[in-house]
Amino acid sequence: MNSQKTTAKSVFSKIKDSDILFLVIALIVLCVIMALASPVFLSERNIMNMLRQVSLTAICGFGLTMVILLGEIDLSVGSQQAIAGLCSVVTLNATGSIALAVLAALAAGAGVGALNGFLVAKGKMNSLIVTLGTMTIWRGVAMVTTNAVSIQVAYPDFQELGTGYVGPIPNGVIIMAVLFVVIWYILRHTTFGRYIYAIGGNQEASRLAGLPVDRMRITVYVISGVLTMLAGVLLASRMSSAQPSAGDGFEMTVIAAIILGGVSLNGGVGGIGGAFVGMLILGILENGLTLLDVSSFWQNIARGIVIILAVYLDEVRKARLAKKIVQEQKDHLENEGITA
Amino acid sequence: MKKVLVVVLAVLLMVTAFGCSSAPAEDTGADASVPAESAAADASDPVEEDSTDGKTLKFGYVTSDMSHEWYQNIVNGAQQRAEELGVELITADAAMDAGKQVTQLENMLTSGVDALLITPVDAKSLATVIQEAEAQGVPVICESNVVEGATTTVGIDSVEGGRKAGEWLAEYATENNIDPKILVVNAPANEDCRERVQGFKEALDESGIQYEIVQEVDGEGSKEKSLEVSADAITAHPEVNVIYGINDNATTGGMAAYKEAGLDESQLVAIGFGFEGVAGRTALLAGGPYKSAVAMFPDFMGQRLIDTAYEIANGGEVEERTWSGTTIITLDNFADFYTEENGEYITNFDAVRALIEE
Repeated sequence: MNSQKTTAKSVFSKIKDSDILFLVIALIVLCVIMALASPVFLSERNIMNMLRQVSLTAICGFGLTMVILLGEIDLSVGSQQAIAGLCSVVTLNATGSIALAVLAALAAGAGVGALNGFLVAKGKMNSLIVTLGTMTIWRGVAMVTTNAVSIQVAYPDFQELGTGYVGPIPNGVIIMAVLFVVIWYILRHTTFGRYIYAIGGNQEASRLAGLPVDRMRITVYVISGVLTMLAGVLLASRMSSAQPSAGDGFEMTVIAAIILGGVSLNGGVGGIGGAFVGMLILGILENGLTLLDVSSFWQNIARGIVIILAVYLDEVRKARLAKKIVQEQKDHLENEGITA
Repeated sequence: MKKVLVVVLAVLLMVTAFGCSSAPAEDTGADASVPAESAAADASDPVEEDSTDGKTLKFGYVTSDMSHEWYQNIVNGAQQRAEELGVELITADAAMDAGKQVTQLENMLTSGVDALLITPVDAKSLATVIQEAEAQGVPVICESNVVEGATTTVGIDSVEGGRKAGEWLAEYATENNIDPKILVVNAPANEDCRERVQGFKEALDESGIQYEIVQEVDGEGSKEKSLEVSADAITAHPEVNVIYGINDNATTGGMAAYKEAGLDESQLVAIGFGFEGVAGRTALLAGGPYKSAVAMFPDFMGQRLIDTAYEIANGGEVEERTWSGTTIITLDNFADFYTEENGEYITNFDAVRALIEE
């Protein structure tokens, strides 16, 4: 009886202290507002459309969340999307094989990720700077190899990847759901996941404790590269072409959503659930405002305000939590003082 | 110390990266005032012999953004025409940097060009360099945007082009008994694009047909963004049966969203402004919803730029604005304007020139 009570209590306090709760409420409020304002918002057609758009951000964002949890960053994910499109469409047009096209892009993703990881881990360089460099390099490569002209897909079947459905659910959404479960499990229930949080929390301590810090960093960048390229292939498939400008500014959308989802840029704090809710909030905002025919200039303003507001409220909540802990410790000390 | 190293490496990385991204555009090297590759390559050409009498004209052209297919095609057209006329053409890419553009223009002036051609990054930043050119007696020819002090502006009439699209749709809708519910994929940050939409609406209003613009979205001129916003708009308005896009990306992005929504493509009519390159041509030739385009013929525009500069440099008079042609292209008249040669499509310049002389 007693133990049940404590479990219930601890579950409750977990929710109360959870990064996610506030976000979920914000998400629900946003959904209610949009549903009231637009009759089509809650239609199946729109929900699937919105989820398909979010799935591209999410598939890339899940990998990037791991990078950020590790205390690093990857600004090159946008440019990687262009490379993914190029690798897959060029391979497809040359061989006619969709499987090879996807594999080529994923392999390129692993390579690009490994390079980022290697430069950060072994080159001992700041990841912000390294990936800022690789970001411009990959964009340059995309421009040079195509002469800035998009490449059309020669085999229309390829479009099925990004635009097709399994039952009523778009392919991208299925992939997103599977990845979410896998990565959630990895982060929560495996040594690999615990290492990520440990290294993100305190890299030096982790190194001294004998954790394979460098190997972890390279591995996570490789995972992020592969997932980013997967999203890039889906994008190319939806556009039935490889666009050298694809993913321009995409890194900012993804990073904003992840931060909005309560993942700390310092590493070690947050989770994939929160990050996903952050992506949903930004995705719904964009989708809903377009449904409501709000001018794109106003949409930019709205997006910016939501991001700043979310981060601010998050800070307020954190400060309150910190105050509470200090108070508890004070009480505890006072109690001890009295008993002593 | 480590920080210093990081910064130095970062700068190096950036330099390399930007060097990469602008590489294709700078192969004719502006700052070094290297002659156009064509002129250099064809040293044995008879034209070259004629011009050895010291009278070779030299033009300098600074574009705004060579990473765009439209400008590449303009420069190709200009390069080709310069070669035909025996003019030396040096080009440079400002890569959307107004400051860089001014520097490049000043370098060209110093190198002694006989005419300056500019696609302005920002019209307001050019006043000083235009004054300098004027002082040296060098004519300034602007592409698309009217800049104060420039000798002339070569461009297409965006409102007029938009009107052609509207007139075409009115006729097509009447013939095929369509009640147009239109999705406009615009890029309203750009004045030319706003005018393309303005002309389209004007012509539709004047035609007297029943029509409705169900939504106007901002695709920012990219296929990715156009696809995304069109997908949202089409969910809100599945009754859309006409898509009008302000360039190839906008139109094909809108079409992709329509297809993705699982709607019947045979019910859709797409009209694109631009027809600037491969994407529009592929869509038209596929015989799908993309029924017509307002073609801008960028390579002809390049030719027109050189012709105008050539005329001025030889003492001729030109109007304040020089128009380059636009026309409606459909599958029916495609072959009048483009000839296929080994998988490449060559613009029939005589046919385009006839459009202006009409």
